[in-house]
Amino acid sequence: MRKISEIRDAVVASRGSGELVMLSMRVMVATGVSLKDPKPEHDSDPARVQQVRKALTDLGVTV
Amino acid sequence: MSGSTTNTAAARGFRSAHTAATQSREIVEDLVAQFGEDCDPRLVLTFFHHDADGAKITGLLSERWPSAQVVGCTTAGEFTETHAGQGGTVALALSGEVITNAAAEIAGFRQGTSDGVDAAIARLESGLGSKLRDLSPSTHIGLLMVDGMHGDEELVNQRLGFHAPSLSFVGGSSGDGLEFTRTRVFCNGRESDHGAVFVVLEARVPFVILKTCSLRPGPHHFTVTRADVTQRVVHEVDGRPVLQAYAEAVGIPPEELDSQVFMRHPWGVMVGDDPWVRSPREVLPDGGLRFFCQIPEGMPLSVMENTDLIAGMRTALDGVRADLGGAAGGAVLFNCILRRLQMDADGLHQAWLELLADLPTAGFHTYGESWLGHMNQTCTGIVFAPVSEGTTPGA
Repeated sequence: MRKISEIRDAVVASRGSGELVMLSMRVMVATGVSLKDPKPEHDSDPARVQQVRKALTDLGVTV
Repeated sequence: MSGSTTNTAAARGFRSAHTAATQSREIVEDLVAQFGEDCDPRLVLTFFHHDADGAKITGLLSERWPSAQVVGCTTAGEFTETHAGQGGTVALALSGEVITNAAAEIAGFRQGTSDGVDAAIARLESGLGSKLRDLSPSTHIGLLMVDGMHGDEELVNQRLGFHAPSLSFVGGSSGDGLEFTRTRVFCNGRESDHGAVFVVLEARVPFVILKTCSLRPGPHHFTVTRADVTQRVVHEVDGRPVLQAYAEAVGIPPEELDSQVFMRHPWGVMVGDDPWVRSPREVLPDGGLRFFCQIPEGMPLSVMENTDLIAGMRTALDGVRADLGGAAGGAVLFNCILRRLQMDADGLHQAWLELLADLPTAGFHTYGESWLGHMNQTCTGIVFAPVSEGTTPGA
């Protein structure tokens, strides 16, 4: 997965959409990047994608 | 009772109290007397001066109400809905009409923060008979009080998110009256000056999280490009020296960056329209800027501008009352020390108390607030709905 939106879709598939809102808020507070609605300039930015992956891993979510 | 007291509101299920007594037994006797002989709490939250013997106070309260969890911490000032000050003790008792069940644990971080959190969560889950991630966030909520001197808050919040991604833990970092030497947290007679206290409660009434700050994003925005995250230091933003960029944004020379500028123009991570504020703490000799929160490289931030603190709090309280169906029953609030300093300077404490009138409240001025992460310059807390007619105490 090279886009944040792809990671988001994988999170929804594995954890359900109910958990996405809180997970996205936690990722946003930790990184400033939205998992739920990534800005276009963030979505494919490798550095941002890596930030989101790490934040999710810290929360016990691997995709 | 030798200490002066402040009469506080008593709504059904919630009782708040303040005492100016300084000796542990007198403090406890005064709180118990104000709560009343018929008080039967499931949870007692108490916040007090940093010289107080919190282990004795929470221990004596636990002896008085063995079925209650009694937790607390030292502060940079305390308040109820009728009293605001420093050096006293405040408390809020929540009865079985408000809470079905509460569990509390103290975590020590001397052997490692993550390990300390994980061990305390395991004990909490054992006591509750359930994994935290299996609890419903519509009926369960967590409280946390973290010692405010070791910079563990980000990792603590991260581990709480790991164990319970959908469950909110709301709280604050304990204070020591701006001495910045030693802060403590307490749980049922035990204490830690390098740790945290966690509470998980099951509510019988609706609740909402209040989070407000008197700040809005200004026209200047940065992305952090070089930082020492664990030391909470930023060195560069947008590839430029941080002091130069920050000073330009607020329209002053870099050498004039001081605590007054920091308070008026902290930085904020925008989550939708809501800022999670990171407050600058000090300019470092090497040209770095130390914050009260961690800021990782790559984080986009806005330089904030001040708004009206009292108007913001009024709007926040009106909002949570509306969310609760029109009325609130009780509140626990964590208000940043930087906001208290602004309230001191601008003479806002009486206006603050008028906002809280008739809402049984206990709160303290913190060294940082927690909800989903660590932040500064907010008032963050939990507001409960009133107990409705026909509600009986839980088993």
